[in-house]
Parts: sequence; C-alpha cells; structure tokens
Amino acid sequence: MSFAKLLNRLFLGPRVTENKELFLQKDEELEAVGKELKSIINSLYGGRSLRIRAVDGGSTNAEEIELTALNNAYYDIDRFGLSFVASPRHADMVWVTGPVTRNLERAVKTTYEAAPEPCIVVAIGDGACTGGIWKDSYAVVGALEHVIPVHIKIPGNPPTPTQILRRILTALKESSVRS
Amino acid sequence: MATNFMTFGILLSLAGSVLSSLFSFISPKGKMHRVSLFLLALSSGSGTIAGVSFLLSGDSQWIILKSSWLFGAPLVLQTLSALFFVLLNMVACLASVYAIKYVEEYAHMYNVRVLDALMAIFVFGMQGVLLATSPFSFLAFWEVMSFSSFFLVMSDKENASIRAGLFYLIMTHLGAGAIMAGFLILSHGSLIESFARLALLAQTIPAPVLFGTFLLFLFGFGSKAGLVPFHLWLPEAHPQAPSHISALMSGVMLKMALYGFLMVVLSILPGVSTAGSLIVIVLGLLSAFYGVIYAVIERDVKRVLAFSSIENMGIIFTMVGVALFMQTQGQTAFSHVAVGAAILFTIAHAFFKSGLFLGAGVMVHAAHTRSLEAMGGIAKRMPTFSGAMLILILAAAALPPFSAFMAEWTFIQNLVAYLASMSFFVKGILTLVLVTMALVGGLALFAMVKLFGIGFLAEPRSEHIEHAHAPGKLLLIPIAVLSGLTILISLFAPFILHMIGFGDLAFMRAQQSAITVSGSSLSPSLIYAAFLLFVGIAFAMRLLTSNVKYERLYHTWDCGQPITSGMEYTATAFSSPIRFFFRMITRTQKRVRITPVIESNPWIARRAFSLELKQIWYDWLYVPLANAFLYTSTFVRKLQNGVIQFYIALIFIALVVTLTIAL
Repeated sequence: MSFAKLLNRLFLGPRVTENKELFLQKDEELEAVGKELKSIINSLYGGRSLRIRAVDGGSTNAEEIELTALNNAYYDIDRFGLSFVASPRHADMVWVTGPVTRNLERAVKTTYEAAPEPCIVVAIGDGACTGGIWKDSYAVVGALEHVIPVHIKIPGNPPTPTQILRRILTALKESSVRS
Repeated sequence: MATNFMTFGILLSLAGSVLSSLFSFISPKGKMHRVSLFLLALSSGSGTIAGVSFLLSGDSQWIILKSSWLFGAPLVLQTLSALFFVLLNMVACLASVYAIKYVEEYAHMYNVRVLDALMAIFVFGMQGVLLATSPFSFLAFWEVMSFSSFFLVMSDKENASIRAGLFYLIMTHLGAGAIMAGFLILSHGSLIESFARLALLAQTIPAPVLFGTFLLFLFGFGSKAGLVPFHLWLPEAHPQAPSHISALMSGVMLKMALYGFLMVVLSILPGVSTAGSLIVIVLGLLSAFYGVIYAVIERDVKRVLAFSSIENMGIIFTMVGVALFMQTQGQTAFSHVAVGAAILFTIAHAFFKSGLFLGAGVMVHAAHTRSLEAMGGIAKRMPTFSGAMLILILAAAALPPFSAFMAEWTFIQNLVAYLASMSFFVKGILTLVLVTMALVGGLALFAMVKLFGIGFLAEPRSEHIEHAHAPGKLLLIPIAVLSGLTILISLFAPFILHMIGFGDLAFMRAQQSAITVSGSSLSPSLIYAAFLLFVGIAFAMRLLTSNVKYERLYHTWDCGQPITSGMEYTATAFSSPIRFFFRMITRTQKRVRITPVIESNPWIARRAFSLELKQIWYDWLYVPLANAFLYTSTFVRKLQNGVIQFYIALIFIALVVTLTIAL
C-alpha cells in the first residue's frame, strides 16, 4: 500500500523542483564574468589556478554563506580557475569577512603574515570594509584596514557571489593593465 | 730521564689533590674556592699528561713510589690502570673547572669549603685505587673514595639526600666488606701481600672456595658499579649529589669498580668457572635491560642519566662476562676482542656520561627543577650548549659515528661471526646476549631521544627556562671539551683498541685506521668523511636549487591560535607505550583523584592525576630483607637487658668460643 503511495507521489504528485526551462537557463552574467576571470587568471598566473584562503574575522556568517555558495554546483568557481585552500601557506589571496573582532585580530594578522608574498587581501562585506553596524564597538577593531593592508574592498551586506567575482575581476584587470 | 719526569707528574697529581683539599679546608668560609679548584684542575691535568705519556711510551709499568712506608707495597702504574688513570684525571680536571662557577652559583646551598675539600679527597682516593698494588692500600684508597663520596652525596643537607647517602653508605660498605673478605681468603689472612703474590697464592686454593671468592668480588665490585639487583642506591645517590660530583661518580667512580673487577678477574684469579662467567653475563644483561627501561620512563633528568649509567655498566659487564665465558670455552681470541670492546665502551661512557651530568647541572640550574616536564626550549636559548649536549646524547644512544657504537659493533660483529661454529649451549647463550643487546640498544635510543626532544626542543614549559641565559664560559667549556673528546676517541677508536694490547691481550691484528673483526671492518675516519660529504652535498644542493632570494623566515603556522607549551609532547606521554609494554616490570600505578568542588554537585570536580613508578627489586628483595632483619633483631634485643654482669658473661663466652675456634 505504502509503495503504491510512494509511486503515486513520485510520478503524479505536485512538482517540488524548479521548472525545467528556468533550471536550464544559464546565468549569463556569471558565465561572462567567469569566462573573463578564467582568461585573466590564466594569463596572470601562468596556467595555474588562483588560490584563496578565507578567514572569518567575526562576521555574522552571511558572507560565509555566500562564499560557500561559490563552491556549490551552481557557481562552481573551480571551473574559472579559483579555489579555496586550507592553509594560508598555499594562498595567493586572503579573503576576510566581518569587522575584525578583538578575539580574531591575531588570527587575521597571522594568516596575512603566513601567506607568501605577493598576497592580495580582499575585504568582503560591509563589516570588513568599514566595520558596518559594529563600527566603534568596544569588541571590534573596526575595518580590516586597521589590521592589515587591504587591496580590494567588496561592500554589501552580504555581497552576492556574482558581485564578489565581478569585483575580483575588475581588480585583476586594473592590476594587469597597470603592470 | 723522561720517565722519571713523568713519574714525578703522577706524584704531583696525587700531592696536588691532597694539597687542594687542605687549602680548601683550612681557608675560612671558602675564600680559597677558586685557588683550590684551580690547583685540583692543574694536578689532574698533570696526571692526564703523565698517564698519556705512559700509554704512549709502551712500558709495561712505572713504579711511582718505591718503598711506601704507608702501605707496605709500592704504588705502580700499569697499562690497565693507566688507562683508567687518564680517564679519571681528564674528567676530574674538567669537572673541577666546571665546579668553579657551578659551586659559586649554589654557594648559598652548599658548604663550599667542605665541598671542595671533599671533592679533591674523592679524586685522590680514586687516583690511589688505581695505583695500589696490595689489598691493603687498595682497600684504604677505596674507603677514602667511598667515604668522601658519601659525604658529597649529602652535601645539600636535604632529607632526601641524607636518606640516599645513608643507603649508599650501607651498600658500598657491604660491597667493600665483600671485597675485603675476598682478598683475605685469597691471601690466607694477610692484607699486605702484593697483588702479584696474591695471584700465586690463589692457584693453591681449591675450586669451590675460589668460586665463592669470585662471587664475593662480583658482589663487592658489582654493588659499586650499580649492577642489578645491587643498584638501588645509584639512582638515589647520583642525582642528589651536586652535578660535578654526579659526573665524577657516574663517569669515573663506576669505572673504579670495573677496574677492580677486571684486575681481580684478569690478573689475580687463576680463571673463572663457566658458572661464574654465566652469572656475570646474566647480571650484566639484567642491569642493561632493567636500567634502560627506567631510563626511558623516568622524568627526572639526572635519574634518567643514572639509570642510563646502570644500563651502560650492564653492557660493559656483559662484554666482560662474555669474554670470561669464551675463555672457559677456549676461544681466547674472541675473549680478547670482547675485553677490548668493553674497555672502549668504558672510555666512551666515561666521557659522554660525565659530560651529560655536567650538562644536566646547567639544565637544572636553568629550570630550577630536575623534572624534564619543566624543561624544553633550551635549544633556542643556549644553542652552543645544546649542540655540545646533542653530540653527547647521540654518543650515549650508541649511534654510528661515536665510539660507544664502535665498541658495540666490534663486540656484536665478532659474536655473530663466531656464532655458527659454536656448540648448542654456547650458541644459546650468545644468542641471548645478542638479542638482549639489540633490544637494549633500541630502548637506549628511545631514552636519549626523549632526553633531547623533551629537554631541549620546542617551547619552554616553565617561566624559569623562558628567562634563562646561556651558561658562562667556565660552565660551557668543560662540556664542549667532553663532547669534543667523544668525537676524538671515536676517530681514534681503532688506535685505542690497538693500544689496549696489554700483555697477552694483544689481539688487534689490523691497521690502525680501521677496526677489523673477523673479516669485516669499520673505519671511523671513513664514516666521518662520508658524513661530512653528505652534509656538504645537502647544503650545496640547497644553495644551488632553492630560491633563497624569495625566502622569508616566519614562525610555524598555528591556525591563528598561539602555540603554547601545553600542546607539547610530555616526557610521561612519550614514554607511555614503553611503560605500558613493560608494565609487568615497572608496576606503574595511575591514580586519578576526583574531588567535587561543591558537595551536592558531583559533575563539577577537580581532577588530579598522579603516576607512581615502583621498583620491583625494592619491594620484592630489599623490603623483605629489611623486615627479616628487624624481626630477628627483636630477639637479639632481649640480650640488651641492662644487667652489666650479663654483658660480662657474654664477653667471656665470646672469648672462649673465639679461642676454641682459633686454637
């Protein structure tokens, strides 16, 4: 009985997934940004991928969810030549989120010091860029700039994955033009 | 002429020791501290030079003091005793240099005047033991050595030291009593016969009595050398003494026991029975095995070294025992190689163990405690000192380029080569020796890795080490010299083995650049050359291949959390597998005590963990013996009833009984 119910549910029940057209539609913006990123990383880093170390500097975890999204099947930034690594020793970029709290100040600082030179520091989210709504609180140091030198700022609370990628792309473009 | 001059040098070293002692003793409040120690260093230095020139001269003996009115027999330096004489004087010289600064650091703890005086007398006693040629002078100097070291053990006047000192006194006097009894039996009741005459007299003694005498000597010298089960005083007494005294006791005094044993066995007793030699082997292996297990699990740096001494003396006695055993089997060549290996090991041990004890003094001074758990981080703060100690520790672990390894290699290589051609019984014994020595070698490496890894590396585990400074030159130089000597003797190991060809013990048929035993050979200079070559290649490769330009020094990646000493491996945890594996022997007891902070809530509690090490010999042998003594003494006490007539009657009975037996 229950098996028949299950079959009924599977084939005749209400649809719970997105509809097919929407699902197959490509995120044009993301794809465009990704393609450009891929080529610029390819030329800047000589064929290898750009390695990222993400540090939580006391964020609300909103930024972390966006960063996790970057790794999921939808965004899948590995195919653009970006990847997250487990140690700052392997990183080309350090991404910091959140207003740097006093407890995590040392962690942020040592991560930056442990990463090999040259290292691009990215402040992600309003917290890391300016201190956000925690600015001037006794518990935070404030914007990431007060702790370590920052090269790229991505404001937003939180910025979407595509926004993050776009900002990284423009920064890389600027630097490649300058050099 | 030159000989006379050098003889004078040895006399000078004797006189210098006495003079130094007197100087220190008569001066008020240790004002002459530096002068007396300097004098001791000079005199033992002259003793070293004289001893070395004796060894190089190739003479068989030098008569130092011909008609000795004091001891009835001349003082003579012979090849075997000269070897030990050089060892003693070298270590004494360096230890007295070390003591200059060391004692000043602890001037508030020790009575400097008495400490210096006793040290000089201690050295004098040991010098005398080596020069003595009659049982009387031998025992007299032996007692000088024992008594002075007894007081030296107690020099910080703490309860633990006094307890250890008394224990030591009892054991050493039981031993001295056994030695005296042995000499009395051999010489038919006269102590002023010379050793040469004793050897003649010994040939007339029936075999069972001779065996008994051998056992007496084995107990006497074995208890001094720290053989299991007469070893219990050693790990108590050596750590309690000041470090330079520990170095002398462990590095040299144990060798006096070995010297005495070798002298008695090789040149006085007409031959040792198979049973006797097997007992030596068993005691040697037991000491080596038991000593090394405790060296692995102990956490007190000086106790680790003391147990390592027991282990090393065990190995040396095993070698001597195998030599004696093979002598009874008619394998003279084998026996000579084994004695040579034992003596080479002795020389190596004298240097590295005294160096390690001197170093332990520096470590303890820096950490303010003897526990390894409070050390660590010394390597960063005292790099030169740690480098010297690393060499000594590697030597103590009997690793390849060092002479302890050469000795073991010579012995084991020879043993393996002979193994095939032996009878079943001999094969069994030799295999036992081989297997046990391999096990002991591995565990010794473990103990030494613990000593260096926990004691020197990583972050400091205590405030004191954090603020410690490198030791001064006067403390550092003796240790550095000893580590240099350790390398030097390993380079000259073939030469030394060649030189030990005294009398019928001439056995090394090889050139002096390599040790050759039964077909295979080992050349220390080649090993060093290869080692230097490999290090050179590694450095060159690094310089050539790596981009030094882009390198940047940075501390260990710590995941954002500061690395603290609480994350480090401790000595207890490091030795845990060994403790677990040998728990039958070590009888460790873990105790966790849980006391609730508030009575009503058992969940919030303080937990205290303690680990207790037991000594099975103490519980199973010494305590029952002591209880038996106490039990019998309750009966004997009934004789002491306070009635004087009864005492007079007892004396009368004793007199009558003695006369009946004597007449």
